[in-house]
Amino acid sequence: MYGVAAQMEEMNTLVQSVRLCALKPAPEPARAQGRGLERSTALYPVGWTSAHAAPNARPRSRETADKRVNDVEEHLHGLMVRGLAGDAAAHRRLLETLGERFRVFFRSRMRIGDPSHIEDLVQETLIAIHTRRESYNPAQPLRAWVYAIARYKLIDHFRRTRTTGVSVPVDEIEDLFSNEEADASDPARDVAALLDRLPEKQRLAIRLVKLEELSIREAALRTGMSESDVKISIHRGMKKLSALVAKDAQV
Amino acid sequence: MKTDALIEALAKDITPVETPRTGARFAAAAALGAVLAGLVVAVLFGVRQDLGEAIVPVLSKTLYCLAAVAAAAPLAFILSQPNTSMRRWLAPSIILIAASLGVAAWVVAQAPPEARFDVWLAGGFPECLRRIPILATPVAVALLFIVRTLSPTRLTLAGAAVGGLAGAIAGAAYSWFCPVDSVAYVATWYLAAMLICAALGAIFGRWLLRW
Repeated sequence: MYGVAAQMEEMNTLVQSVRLCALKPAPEPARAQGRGLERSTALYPVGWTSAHAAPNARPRSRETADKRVNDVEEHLHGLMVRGLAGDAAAHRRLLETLGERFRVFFRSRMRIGDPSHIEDLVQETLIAIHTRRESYNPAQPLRAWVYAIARYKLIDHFRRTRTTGVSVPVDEIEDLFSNEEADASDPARDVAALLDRLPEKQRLAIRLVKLEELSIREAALRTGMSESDVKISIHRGMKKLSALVAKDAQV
Repeated sequence: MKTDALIEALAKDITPVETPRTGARFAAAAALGAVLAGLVVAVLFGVRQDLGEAIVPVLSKTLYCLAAVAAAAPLAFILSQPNTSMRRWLAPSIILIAASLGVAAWVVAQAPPEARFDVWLAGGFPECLRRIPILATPVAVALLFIVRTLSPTRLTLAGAAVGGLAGAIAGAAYSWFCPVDSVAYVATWYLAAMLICAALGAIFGRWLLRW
């Protein structure tokens, strides 16, 4: 039960921080540098950008802003409906436009500005929208639907990477730049630790063949596994190892 | 992979998608769940023996649970989709819960003091607290499969609503087994069993509904 409560707690703080991020207006010039934005304003001079995402854009009358938002909704909704009917060009334009919008959306909500994460999120969201478009009800507003999915992907990303943005108290900053010898990574120790996280069979196969440099045949004889079993174990083990390394690198 | 290339690949060969029949799919899952729960009651639990004389209370209990189904189904369906407003659909469930508790309290208060405990508990541990959640499990599984395809974005809430709906469907099936006809009992413990299902749904929905 503790785990569940802790997770809920964590989710709540996550959601809160996402909301906080959403409230914090990002400086407009920084966004305008983002790629795709120029293109999007050229393609859709309807002011969705300002009306939707920039609270500090230059003032406009409320009706015009509402009308522009409605125009965008209508435009995108039309593309979606045509895409659903099988119009590939409309579908591509929809994804392109949404991709640009999502890039801005994610950039303004992620305090850690790792561009590859933002691009990953954009792609993940586009894939989700593409594969789930059959569950979209055309009677529903499209923007609400796509942004709900984008927000879900963002929260899911935070949940997976367990970060809510990097914030390090000033007192602890020195710990980040530790120069002690012991802290430097020791490859042999790291490999051993990683190997310990593999299933017995894969660990054994990798240790014998890759570390002790036995041949596949010798390893098979030594362990009593078949040769193909050894090969498969090595293959799976290496794949798992690289996944573990990638995961560790992320954390 | 570059995003442009991804878009190109996604949009290359698209096939027309027919009008979404999400509501029909959801209803079909609920119906499948109801059939499963009915089968479990008929085969494993056994329909109560005195069905002939007790048909009125049995049907009343079934109706009560169907009212709960009617209250929970739209809510669960709405919460299964991204960014839809549930406010309008929350009221029936709240009214049903409040009415049940009110009726239970009133009936218990009407009974003579020494009989109150019997009226309320019908002697012993309420069996439905255990059996309705068990019955609700296959129903919930059927529903969760469909709900995942509807892209829920509020997993805990969606899980709770789906759990409550599964509990209500299970209750309707369970009423054909349940030997207790006391109104206060049904209004309290059937409701409690459904709420337990909702709580379980909220807890497990967070994991089971992820997509």
